[in-house]
Amino acid sequence: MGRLILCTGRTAKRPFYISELGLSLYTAEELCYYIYNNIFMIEDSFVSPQLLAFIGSELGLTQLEDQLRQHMGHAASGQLLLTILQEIHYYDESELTAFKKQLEKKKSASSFELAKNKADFLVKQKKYNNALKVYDSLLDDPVQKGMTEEFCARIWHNKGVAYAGLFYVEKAAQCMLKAYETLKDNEIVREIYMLSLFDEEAMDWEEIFAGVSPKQLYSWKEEFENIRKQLMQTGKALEARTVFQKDAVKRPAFIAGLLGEWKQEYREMVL
Amino acid sequence: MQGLLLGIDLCDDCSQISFFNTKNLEAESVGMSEDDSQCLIPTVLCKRKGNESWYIGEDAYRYALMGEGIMVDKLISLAAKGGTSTMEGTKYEAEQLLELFIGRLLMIPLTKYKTAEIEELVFTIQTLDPVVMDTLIRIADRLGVKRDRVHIISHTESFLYYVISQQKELWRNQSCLFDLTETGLHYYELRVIRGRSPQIVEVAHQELEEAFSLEILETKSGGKLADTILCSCAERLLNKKLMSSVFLTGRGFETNDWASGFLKFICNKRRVFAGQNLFAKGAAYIAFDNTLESTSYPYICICEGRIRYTVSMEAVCAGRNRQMIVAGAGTNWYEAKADIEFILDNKDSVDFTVTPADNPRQTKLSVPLKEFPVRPAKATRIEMIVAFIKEDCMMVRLIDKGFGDLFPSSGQEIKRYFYLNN
Repeated sequence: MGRLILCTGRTAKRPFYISELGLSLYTAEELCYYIYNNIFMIEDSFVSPQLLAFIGSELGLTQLEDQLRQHMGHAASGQLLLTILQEIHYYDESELTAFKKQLEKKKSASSFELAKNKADFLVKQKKYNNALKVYDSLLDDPVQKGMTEEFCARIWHNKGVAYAGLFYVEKAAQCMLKAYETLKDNEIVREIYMLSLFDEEAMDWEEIFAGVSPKQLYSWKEEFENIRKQLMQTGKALEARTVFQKDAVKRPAFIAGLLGEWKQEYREMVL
Repeated sequence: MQGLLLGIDLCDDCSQISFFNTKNLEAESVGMSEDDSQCLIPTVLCKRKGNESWYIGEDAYRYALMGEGIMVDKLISLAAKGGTSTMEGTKYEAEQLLELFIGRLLMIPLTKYKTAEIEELVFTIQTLDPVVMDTLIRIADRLGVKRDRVHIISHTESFLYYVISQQKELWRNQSCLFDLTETGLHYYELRVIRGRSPQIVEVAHQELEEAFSLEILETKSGGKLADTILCSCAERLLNKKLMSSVFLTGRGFETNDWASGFLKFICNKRRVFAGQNLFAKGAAYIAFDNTLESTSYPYICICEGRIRYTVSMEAVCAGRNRQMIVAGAGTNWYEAKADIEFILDNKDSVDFTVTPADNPRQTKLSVPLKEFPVRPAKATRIEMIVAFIKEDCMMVRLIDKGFGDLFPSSGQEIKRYFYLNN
């Protein structure tokens, strides 16, 4: 049984900007959510004088700011993050206990695990180009870094997802094939098949799916068609259809506006 | 000097003004004459022929009778219909005419008390028509009284506040009012529902079918007929009720020598008060109460124009579960609004509990959020706007605000209407 959490705090006029992610945080709730769900990618430098100033001046949480200032320099950054979550009360006791366990795990996590988490977050935020840079740096001499074959395969897979987000179908498929060589996961084959349906000319797909049964391919194709039909009723497809319902006089202006928005979105993905 | 606290009773036949005196904490009548004796101000507006001078009340009648002016009356009904009136070739909208009338009406207390400022202005009207209410708010704003200082209440509510501002013995049991005007005969009855905390004061209102034209009072036989009609009403309405006080108001009771039988009946074991300006005074009491940090009336007031239910919802605030009141019983429906933001935490609906003021039996209402995008827990901010379009009809509007840069808003909105008495 869920619940509603009342918002009583301020929305910042000047948000806290996380430059490597191109992300701005405007409220105490967003700050807590970001900390709680991305502990593996938050570096020690995150709890900075700028963050404290944001908490005090923009969010109006001056007592919390004072508390953090007192402990900054002595307490570990993980402890400071925990203090933020505790004082803002966005998460309950059981959630904070789980967070503490994650903090412990993070202490023992390797630098490459932390880096992969960061790249995975960038993919979720559609910052694909930034994600690809991190994946590439990880895959540069993985043995020296101490990464297992399986771990590398997971990076290849996620790199494929990032390329797919940028509509680079061939590159996406190649990355996923590399992942499959090690992981041998049928789910990856399914994903590659979905890519092939996007762009049938991108590669010689027949060779890739030679070992997959026609029945399986048919089932995946049906799944793809169902998803495509659902997506036609939402998001970008719905926006486009709405624009084409406008009268002929107003339509060009709306199309230009919509294309402009989509282009800007794509630019942000490739940043 | 503090601005004026005014109550204004606006009716189609006449209007009245009351001023709240903060020195003696009493509402006082304000009339057109020096001694405030003429507190009934006819709701008529007259444009002087050939120029842009406008007059109200008896002055308006005077110029019209002399043939020097063009008169328009029934300004409230005209505003409700959005009507117009053409004078000397110029068409005037009802709102313009009403503004001219109210502007001149307000000059009376402003001139008398030598101030240009109104701190609180409460209009009281027979029926809470949304068109008239919106019109009055706009007019007041243009006349320099800001939206948050203007309130509009019904006659029922004015009567309620008038009575509970009097000594308690007058309403220890029940209290009632007969309002006899050219536009009708109205009966109001106040009772206190004990056994609850805070106590509930409820006023019911009826427009009686037995209304008659005041012209009949001009003849002896007409007066006798009117007396018989009122006696019959009183016997029916007051039968077996413990009435501490009876109030009589309206032009029909300006003189009451025609109502001997009726008066004899109602004066039996009851205190009876006759006088004008009761509604305006009730409005003035509310004007004063609005200036206080918290109300000085420790009751829940239920009447026309006020919500009979408390609508609440459960939410977490600073880590603790709380029952939040979205709209409280006794609140003026026109002013009952809530604009709240909250975060969804594994919740796919917004749920309300509705509790009647006079009954602990609760009803649950729910608005599913199927139209909103599915996001992880604690990653959706919703703006909820609650307002009433009538005293028993609540509108709930939910807007998906997304979650900052992390999850952009879909812009989706859900709107639902709930009839609370179902």
